[in-house]
Amino acid sequence: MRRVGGMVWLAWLIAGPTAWAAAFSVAYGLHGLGCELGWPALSLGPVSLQRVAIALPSLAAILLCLVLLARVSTALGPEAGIPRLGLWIGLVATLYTMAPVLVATSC
Amino acid sequence: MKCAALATVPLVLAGCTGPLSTLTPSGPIAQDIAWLWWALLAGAALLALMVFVLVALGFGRPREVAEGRWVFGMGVWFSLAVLTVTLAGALWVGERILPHGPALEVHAHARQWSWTFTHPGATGPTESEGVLHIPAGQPVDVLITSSDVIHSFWVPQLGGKMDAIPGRQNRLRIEASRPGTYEGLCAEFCGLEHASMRFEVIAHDPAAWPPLPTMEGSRP
Repeated sequence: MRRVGGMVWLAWLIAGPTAWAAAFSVAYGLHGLGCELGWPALSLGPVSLQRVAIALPSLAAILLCLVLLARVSTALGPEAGIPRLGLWIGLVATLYTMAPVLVATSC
Repeated sequence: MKCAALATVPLVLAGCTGPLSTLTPSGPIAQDIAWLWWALLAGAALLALMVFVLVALGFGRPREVAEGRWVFGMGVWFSLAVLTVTLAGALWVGERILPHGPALEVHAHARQWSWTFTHPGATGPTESEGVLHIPAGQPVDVLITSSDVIHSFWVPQLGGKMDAIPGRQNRLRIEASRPGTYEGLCAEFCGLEHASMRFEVIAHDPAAWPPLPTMEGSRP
């Protein structure tokens, strides 16, 4: 199996934490925007538009981590160990930081 | 050297009490915040203790250690457990101190470098400079505004703190359990006289509420 190194390997390594950081930043921005625009009062089925808007970036990050986890072995071969750990860290960190969003008062 | 270090302990601990201390709460909201502070201190102490034990082990003679136990057992799961418990506590306290349900409303308007308060009076809304009048034993929502820069309303013994932002009105719930005088301050640096931007909160006996407009510092 070919060896993957350099920047490609580094990109795989930081993909998980980067997905978490991006989702967190976007959710942070949407939270402030939603409070100002009155999204908590707008219902989307059983939940408010505010919760959906904040949760969506995290769900996207979780999905991205799962897809990358499924492909990391194929892409990196024997070098996949630490990048796989990074993806798990990104996945768990996103779940951990998203959980309060689903229960706490938003604005 | 040791004596000098010990002598400073009472000085440091003296900061834990007094009219501007979060650790001497005088109402249910401030009490919740004080409990959270103690819980966070306990969590931080546990994590610090774990690190100190690791450092102490490093000074001993070389020995076989169970790496998995330290790295995952203590480093990951123990730390995560402490963080999760304190996070859950913070969420619980955060929900309890939010302004849910009805409450008396008063206004706090900030400017460089003073506060103007408006509260319901016997003959209508009454304005006070530097003194906020509230009834004891019931929740009070302070509607906070500013006319120049960002300030912050904080009465440590009665509740949390809230920024006063130009162009916005923020809401903060406070409550005093007993009648008395409590000290407040601006908690956001707002210019040269920031340190002197203090005020008082006078909590009245509910039987004497609303206060008479002739009270010092008040004008109808």
